[in-house]
Amino acid sequence: MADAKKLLLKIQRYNPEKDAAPYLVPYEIPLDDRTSLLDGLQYVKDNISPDLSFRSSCRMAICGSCGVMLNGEPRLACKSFLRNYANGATVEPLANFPVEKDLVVDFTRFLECLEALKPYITGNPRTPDDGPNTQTPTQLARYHKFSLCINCGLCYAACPQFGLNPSFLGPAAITLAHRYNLDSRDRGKKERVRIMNTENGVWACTFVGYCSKVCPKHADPAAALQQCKAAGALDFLASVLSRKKNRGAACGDKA
Amino acid sequence: MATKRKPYVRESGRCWWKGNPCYRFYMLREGSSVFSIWVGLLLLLFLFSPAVFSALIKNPLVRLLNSAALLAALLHTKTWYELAPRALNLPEEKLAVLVKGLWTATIAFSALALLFSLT
Repeated sequence: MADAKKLLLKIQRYNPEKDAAPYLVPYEIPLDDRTSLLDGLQYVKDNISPDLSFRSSCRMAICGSCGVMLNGEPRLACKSFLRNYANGATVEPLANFPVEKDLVVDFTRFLECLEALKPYITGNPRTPDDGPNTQTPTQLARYHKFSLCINCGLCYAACPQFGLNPSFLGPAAITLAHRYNLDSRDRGKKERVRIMNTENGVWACTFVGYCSKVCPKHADPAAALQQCKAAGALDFLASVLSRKKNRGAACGDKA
Repeated sequence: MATKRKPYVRESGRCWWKGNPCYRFYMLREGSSVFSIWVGLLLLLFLFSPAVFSALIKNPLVRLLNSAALLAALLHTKTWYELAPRALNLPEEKLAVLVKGLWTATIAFSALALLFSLT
């Protein structure tokens, strides 16, 4: 063990009961080719600093709990291997969220947005007696990519617009709303679009594109947002045209 | 029991884009549109005073600005063609074909415009 490779991991610490602001603490950890950042954090907690707080669960990039900033880049700790950071690494809590303690952030805003957009099948009148909904592979392909989102929040940490304007609904919530809007079994599009097309909805996105680069599941939130913008613009055009048509019809009636 | 929560909020400063290469490239991409104002002004000048325009574009400083505008336009076109088609919900392989088609059309149109202006 004495010959084991070592790595310097600087971890941001913050104890709300004692500290006025977060600060970095260096920890030396042993590693081999298979050591993930999550393993490194767990080593620090088990052997050096038991009061270190971080979230984790599945260890296999499914649950989306262990998002952190690794050298300034949003990443899942379980999916990041420390062999790629030979010169050491700095670990901070996910950017753009308030820090509760050490690497734990407050996800409330993201969860509120997610809840508001109802990311589940809604409005479908079928009952269990009617049997399962049928869906063709083509219908599935329309939304499949967007359904890969695991709510890890990395895209929120990558989004400068969310950092500048926390009222922005954000990439993951809109991606999941879009995923259900595209689902042939869903009937809730009208309700979601009303929220998505507000000032803090899709139009607050300026297509920086970093959200798609950091997404650990390749759900491509930037593309989802652009598709929502295109759909919103077409809806607006259709509503203007139908208003004109109705006004024309009303004038015609008067005449 | 009173809460001991004291969430620490990190503000995004004015220089939020400086620390990340992806943000810096985004600023460069968006900043490249500034040159379109320059080209627009130059074209307006051509409309209202072709003689002054002809004299002005021979100025070395204007040539430098126009070269920078061409590079900015190329960068903007490249990023636009990579990003905009994603607004269509197409499979990856079809997206690649679409981007190639857009480039082919751009090169063909530019070659035709150049040919037309030289003859």
